[in-house]
Amino acid sequence: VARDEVLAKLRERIVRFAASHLARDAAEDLAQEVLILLHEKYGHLETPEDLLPLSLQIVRFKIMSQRRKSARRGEYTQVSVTDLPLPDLEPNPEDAFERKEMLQRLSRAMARLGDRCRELMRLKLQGKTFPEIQKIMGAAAINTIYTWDHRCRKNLLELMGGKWEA
Amino acid sequence: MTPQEARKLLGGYATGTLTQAEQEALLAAALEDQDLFDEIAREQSLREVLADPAARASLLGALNEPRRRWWQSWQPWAAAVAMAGIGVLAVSLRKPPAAPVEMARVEPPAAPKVDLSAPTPVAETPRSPAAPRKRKAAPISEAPQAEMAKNEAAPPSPPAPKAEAPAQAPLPAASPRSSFRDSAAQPQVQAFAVRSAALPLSLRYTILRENGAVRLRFTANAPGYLSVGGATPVPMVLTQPYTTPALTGDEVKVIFARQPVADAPLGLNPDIQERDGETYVTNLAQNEPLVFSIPLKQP
Repeated sequence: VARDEVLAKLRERIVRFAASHLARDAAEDLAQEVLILLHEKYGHLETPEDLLPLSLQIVRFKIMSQRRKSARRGEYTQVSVTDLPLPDLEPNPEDAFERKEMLQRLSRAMARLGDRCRELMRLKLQGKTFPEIQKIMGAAAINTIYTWDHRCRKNLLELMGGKWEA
Repeated sequence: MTPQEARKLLGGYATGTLTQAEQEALLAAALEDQDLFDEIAREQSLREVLADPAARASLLGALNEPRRRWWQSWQPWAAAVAMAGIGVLAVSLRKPPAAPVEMARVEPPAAPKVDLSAPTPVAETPRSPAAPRKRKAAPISEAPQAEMAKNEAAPPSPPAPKAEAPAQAPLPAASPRSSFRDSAAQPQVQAFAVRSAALPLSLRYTILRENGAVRLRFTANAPGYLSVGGATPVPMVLTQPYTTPALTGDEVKVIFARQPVADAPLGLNPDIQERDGETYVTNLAQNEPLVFSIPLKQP
């Protein structure tokens, strides 16, 4: 798939995703900024496996940045995307605090999972792939592991209150 | 791979444990499907946390700890103790059910005194097909019998109230009119006898003036005996009016009791109300005869 084609699809997806968090105009501007950043700073990346996770990371940073800015200023109205700083992508104190809080919530929720889910999560955190997990857990088919994983993630998400972030 | 099949791989995106082929399939599907893209975007924060080796180690430590069973937590025990405490408190504060209070008791009326030495006319009630047996009427004097004949229907003797009223008899009516309403609303005489025994005695009367003669027409709210101007008491039947013979004088004394009473002192404070040309008199003192006087102003 050509890089331009991937970027065009990415833009469409980012606009629609950002529109659920920001105003439509801001979402358009946000997607444009992401693409500019991908073009100028990450021009060597071409495949969706590289571009999509990176673009999602940028989008998340920008949306979080806007939320913090609105909260600090007491603003809950639309903020022009031109006022948003370009993401640093390096950990900052606020991010570190949020990640630490999320990690604590994850720890508490995982401790409450059932035995099979705990084992599955443990194997995934150890870096095992699904086929490897299938062998270790003795499942007959890989789809069984997919189904267990889907249920365990759903259970974990419920234990965390329905969303990963606080 | 369809988006539905690719969605099964979502769990490996955050942990970064997808194979190369799985990752390519998932992300390619996400570029084509907005819902899948949104789900991956929501996993991004978890992916970033789990990308930190220290965070992974911390979570692995939490997973390696033995799972706490429900009985190993203090919350269920605290809840159980709290519920038990509430139960004990509720039982200790619960009042025992109150014993039923007897509100009224009606003594059976004493049999009217009859002078056995004097010849007493005995009236026989006409036989009916349904009641072939002879029944002797209650002993009454001649005067009331004659008066009752004028009223076209001889009132039978008042039904004797039951020896004992129910433990929770109805309270007395609030007013003379309501007393009459309560009495008239009872469809069964037997039930009324029980109920009226607890009602205060009440009379409704109208002064009738015809050709210079003054008569009084009474209606009682309960069975009893009525004496007007010192005359021999006549039995009164529920809602059946009784009209006196022509009366003379400026005032006449009326006595209405559950038992035949020829004379009694005037009541202290009978309740008297007038409405629609009729006068309602009620004895506020329950279980005592209703005694009052009616001024007869001659036209």
